[in-house]
Amino acid sequence: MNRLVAPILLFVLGAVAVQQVVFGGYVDYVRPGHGPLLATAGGLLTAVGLWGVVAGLRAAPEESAGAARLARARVHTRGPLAADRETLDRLRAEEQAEGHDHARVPGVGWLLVLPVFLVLLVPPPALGAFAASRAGAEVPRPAAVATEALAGPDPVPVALHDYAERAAWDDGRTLAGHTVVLTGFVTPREAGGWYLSRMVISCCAADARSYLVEVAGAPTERVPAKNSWQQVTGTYAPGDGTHTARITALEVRPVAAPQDPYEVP
Amino acid sequence: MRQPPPLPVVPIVLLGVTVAALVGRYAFELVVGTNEAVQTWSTVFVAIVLQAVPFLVLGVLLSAAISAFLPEGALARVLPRRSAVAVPVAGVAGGVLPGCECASVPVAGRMVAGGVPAPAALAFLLSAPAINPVVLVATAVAFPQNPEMVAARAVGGLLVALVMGWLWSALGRPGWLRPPRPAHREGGTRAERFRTTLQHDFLHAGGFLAVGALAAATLNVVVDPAWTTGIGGVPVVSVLVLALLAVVLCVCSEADAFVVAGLSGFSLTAKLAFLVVGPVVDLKLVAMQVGTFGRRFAQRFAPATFVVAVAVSALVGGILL
Repeated sequence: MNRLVAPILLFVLGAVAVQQVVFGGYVDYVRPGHGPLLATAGGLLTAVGLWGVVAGLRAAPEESAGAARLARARVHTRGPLAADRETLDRLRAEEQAEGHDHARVPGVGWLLVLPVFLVLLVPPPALGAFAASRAGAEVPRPAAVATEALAGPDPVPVALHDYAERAAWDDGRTLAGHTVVLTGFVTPREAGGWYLSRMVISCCAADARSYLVEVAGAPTERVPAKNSWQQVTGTYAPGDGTHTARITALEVRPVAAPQDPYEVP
Repeated sequence: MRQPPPLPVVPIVLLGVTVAALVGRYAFELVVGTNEAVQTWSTVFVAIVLQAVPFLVLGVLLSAAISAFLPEGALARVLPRRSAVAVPVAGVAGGVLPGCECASVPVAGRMVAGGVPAPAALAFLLSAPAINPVVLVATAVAFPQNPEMVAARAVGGLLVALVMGWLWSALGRPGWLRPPRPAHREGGTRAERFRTTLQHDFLHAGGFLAVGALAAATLNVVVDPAWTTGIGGVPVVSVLVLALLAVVLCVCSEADAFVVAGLSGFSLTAKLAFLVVGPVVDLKLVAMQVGTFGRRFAQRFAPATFVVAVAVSALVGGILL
């Protein structure tokens, strides 16, 4: 029976990976392009798990490691009933080999149950205002600021990190004169007011960088709820610090959270 | 020598699953509420694990194939006998494994178990995540204005692997390294040996990956990200700070270039240190090394690798950047 545990654990881990990709939950943790890799890996793990379950069920019951251990435990090692030296040596070697029996779950492997527990029972949300507010308002330096003109007629939708980079690292030269539409979540600003914000990931949430755009203008007297998703239509305004971004809002309206919470550079 | 009776694992697991399904969510919310720090912590933890799983699967597929299908000692015979020569051969061979550090640990473990001399396997372990084509292309994309960064990273990563391999063959003692035991050769078909090795290596390396992810997620939430600001201008300190940041953040070697490119105010040499140290020493990697080769190994190897990687980055950065 015990030799079924490791394959079942493998199967469950693989199944959770596949489930995350099929139902789309994985985009809260890794970039969308990671999906096919994750699904393939999950599929392989479930297959190997199933294979192990079948093999374990077919194996003769007397091969059970538990029964062998139980038999060993009944052998006396000292006292008048002690087994002879040869037997003891053989049992000891058997025991050591079994201590590293590849059919068992290594103790540390049980830690993999924790992410499964989290994902299935209390799925952690995508990074939000808490993570966004930690690194400060300065926009991360882009490798190269986009200088091409914004695509499309006004009001033109722009990725939030793109707007922030153009605003903070190019003095908004390519933004001036345009009306843009930004989508992001609300991060409260310590000095009053709020930021429209977005996280950018390259691989997974552990490498997330935050982009914050201060929202100024008439429609922002009421600060919307923290972490709520908003769409801001507005025009470029210079930030109040070095390499920070700001927008003068013409209209702020709540929107549904997008399918992909993160932007990809 | 008397052993306690075996744990009834299956009933315990069934009980655990039932209890978790019934009260898990409520208990979790009762204990931590909707604490944002805890939520961020679990998001980062789950993210690191999910991100690493495909690479780990690739790694254990290779390690299981090595253990099951290659005749004993085949890898060792392919490599030159003298470790002075075997180290560079294994180091360059690492460049063809398109994965991050999670893939290379189980493979290197099986190499040692299969008779490859430790210095060569260690050179492979360090070079595979640092200089493979995927990582170099990602670096080129992240540093469009500094193509020399790609060359510096390739040279630096390979150099660290070679130096560590040679250092280990000169100074390393056999007792420090506890190689993974070979899979059971007796009994079982090759396919069965493949399956059990894969299963064991995945759960073993994956468990230690989870240990590293726990540590990385905790530091991600606890350490103030602003601690690096204002240090960028100081020459030596900035290199050390970004090297330490690489150890703490545990960013996958395929993404680290994007992360460090966005840090303003740091010199290219400091950023190179981040890129050279990250793939060879970080929390999750050290945890996996402890699991695969033992604590006595990791407590010597990881700090030495850190020192060598920082020195190599300073040297290569000084010449190339």
